[in-house]
Amino acid sequence: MNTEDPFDPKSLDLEPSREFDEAASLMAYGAAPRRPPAGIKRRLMKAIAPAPAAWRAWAVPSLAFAVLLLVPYFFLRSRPVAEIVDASSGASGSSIASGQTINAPPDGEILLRVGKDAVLKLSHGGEATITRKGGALTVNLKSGWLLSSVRHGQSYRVVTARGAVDVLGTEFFVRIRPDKDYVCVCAGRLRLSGAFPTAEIAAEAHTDAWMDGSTKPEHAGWSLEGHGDADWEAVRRISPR
Amino acid sequence: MVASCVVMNPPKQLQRQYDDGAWESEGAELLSLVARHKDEAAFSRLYDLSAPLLYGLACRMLGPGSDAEDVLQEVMLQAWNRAAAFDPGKGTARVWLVVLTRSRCLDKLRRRGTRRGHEIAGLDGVAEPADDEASASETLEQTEARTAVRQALAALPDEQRRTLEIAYFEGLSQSEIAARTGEPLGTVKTRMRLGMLKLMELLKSFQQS
Repeated sequence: MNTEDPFDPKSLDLEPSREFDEAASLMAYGAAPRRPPAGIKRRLMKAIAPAPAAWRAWAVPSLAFAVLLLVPYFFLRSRPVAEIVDASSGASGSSIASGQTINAPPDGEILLRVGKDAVLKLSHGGEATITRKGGALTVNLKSGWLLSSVRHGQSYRVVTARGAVDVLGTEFFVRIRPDKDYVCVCAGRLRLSGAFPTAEIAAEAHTDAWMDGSTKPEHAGWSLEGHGDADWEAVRRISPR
Repeated sequence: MVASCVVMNPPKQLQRQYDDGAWESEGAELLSLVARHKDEAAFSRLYDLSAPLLYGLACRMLGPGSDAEDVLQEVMLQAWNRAAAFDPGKGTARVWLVVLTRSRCLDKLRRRGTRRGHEIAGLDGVAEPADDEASASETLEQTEARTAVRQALAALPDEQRRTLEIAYFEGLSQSEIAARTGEPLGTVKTRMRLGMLKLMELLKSFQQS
């Protein structure tokens, strides 16, 4: 079939022009006008209209769903991350929010229950924050020392300026000193990481290491800094282990 | 070959239609509103103004039915989606919409694989609109313009007008028209050319007057 349009001006040896198009379009008036079925306009107007109905239909359930998700999130987020069990400052019973800074008084200690799975004792003058993301607990130790007991399986990390101590179910001690940090595994396993080769310490009894932040942690020679039986007694009293 | 040289005077109604600006100037404004603001009210008005003409054209070319309805719907959707493509400098809104409609009708005819001769009744045979409701929905300018153009077309020599109608509404090529009418190809081409020149002359005289 010939697909050439006989109304192409070139086929009539005429130049394409606005006048030609105008004149050709007059031919359309040769057809009797007809009123199109009403459904066509209805469909067209529906097709061109934005879809507010569909949007609204989704908006309400989506909003409700978001609220259902956000309410527990904010509830969990606002839930205290720890509770002071014993403090020489007399703050026993106080709740600690996630991210809140905890300062042990210079002449005292604070014993905290961190969730259900960890206990933490913060030393004289120690400063730390505890944050919870998902189920993981992170203690940011800025100064002083802490002694902690963690139930096996609980994700628990102590971060210092020099590295991180990942707890693999253990009782341990961390002390920040001016030149290096002291870490002691009292029972269980720890993983030390930072800007140095990752090291793991596993011990049935106190095994310690120095962590200077740059070189691989070295054995500290069982110096057992800063923690003794009395400290452990306090921790173990409320320990979940 | 018969070459008529009828001097046509512009029908007063059509001249008034051009003087008044008719719906074409409104059509351009409506298309502009659709292009710039996606104005649904403007689109609705454009549909009301143009649909009877476009649907009538589609019915004439394809026959009444779903194909003609599809064409109208497709053309109006194209007007909505591509209104920005309309260039008032190249022609009026009516021309743009009519060209779109005819092109889509020709596509459908080609897909059918055969061009049905939809009763080329000629202008004499369809002196009145087939649809009274459509006439009622036309603006006064549209009715006057349609009547005037039909009168102008009717003033063309019969063989020129019929050749133009077959070519326009059925999309037959000049050689196909020649085969159908039994006229030499050169005659068909000459009739079409003369017919178009007269229509252009008529249009020019409207615009100049």
